[in-house]
Amino acid sequence: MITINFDDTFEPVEVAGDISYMTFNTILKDGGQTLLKIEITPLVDPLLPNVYNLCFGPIGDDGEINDAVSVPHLDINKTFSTIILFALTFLKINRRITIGLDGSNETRAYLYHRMFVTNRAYLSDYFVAIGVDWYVKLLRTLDIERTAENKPFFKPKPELFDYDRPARDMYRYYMFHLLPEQE
Amino acid sequence: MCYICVMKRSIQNKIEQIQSLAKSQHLSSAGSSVRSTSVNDSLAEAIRNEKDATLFMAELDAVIKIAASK
Repeated sequence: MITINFDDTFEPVEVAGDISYMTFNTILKDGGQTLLKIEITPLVDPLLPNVYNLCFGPIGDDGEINDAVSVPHLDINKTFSTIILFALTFLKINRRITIGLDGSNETRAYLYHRMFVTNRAYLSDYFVAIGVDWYVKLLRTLDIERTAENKPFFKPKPELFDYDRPARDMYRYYMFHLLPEQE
Repeated sequence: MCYICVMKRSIQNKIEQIQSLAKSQHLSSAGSSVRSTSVNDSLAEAIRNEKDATLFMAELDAVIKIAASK
């Protein structure tokens, strides 16, 4: 269970001029430390200009984030609090942008889902949490709508995060947006 | 009540620290590299054309507006 607390975060090491990435050192279970990088970059899709992807992980030999490796964090709460605080900082200067977290990997989807549910009260002071399901149209022939390759024609549909959904019914994709300023 | 007005000073300080580092370090953007995770993003793959994108963004904006009205 991940608990977010913006008052308990790691210190930043480097921050890009446009706040598109940040690095910080996280402490490992063996007492060592490793440099993690958080990047918020636009999707490679010109049709969704205000949807950005958040990625984090240690830096590989190629200088890019290796988000597939499992890091033995001593304090995973502090690590994720640092990541989400950075996302908040990014969104405060990019208010029109929505950050997306791909839940296509079961482990990641569970992580994101539990993070949003566990920290519902805390995060709702800052963000609008959104869940996205994939839907397919049922045709009158009782077949489903298909692509030219005869695969189901899935269409993503966003909704306000349903906190009553059980963890076994996770969303396909997770998003969060800065809470609009209240009047 | 404006949510920014009630954000804890300690958290606002942390945000300002990040912003200050960004200004002082003069590091270039991350946006120049095409990330494999962004290329394989399932939402980007599901949006096939402008019609899909327009509908999705309209629904997303509506969801955000609903949240703002609560």
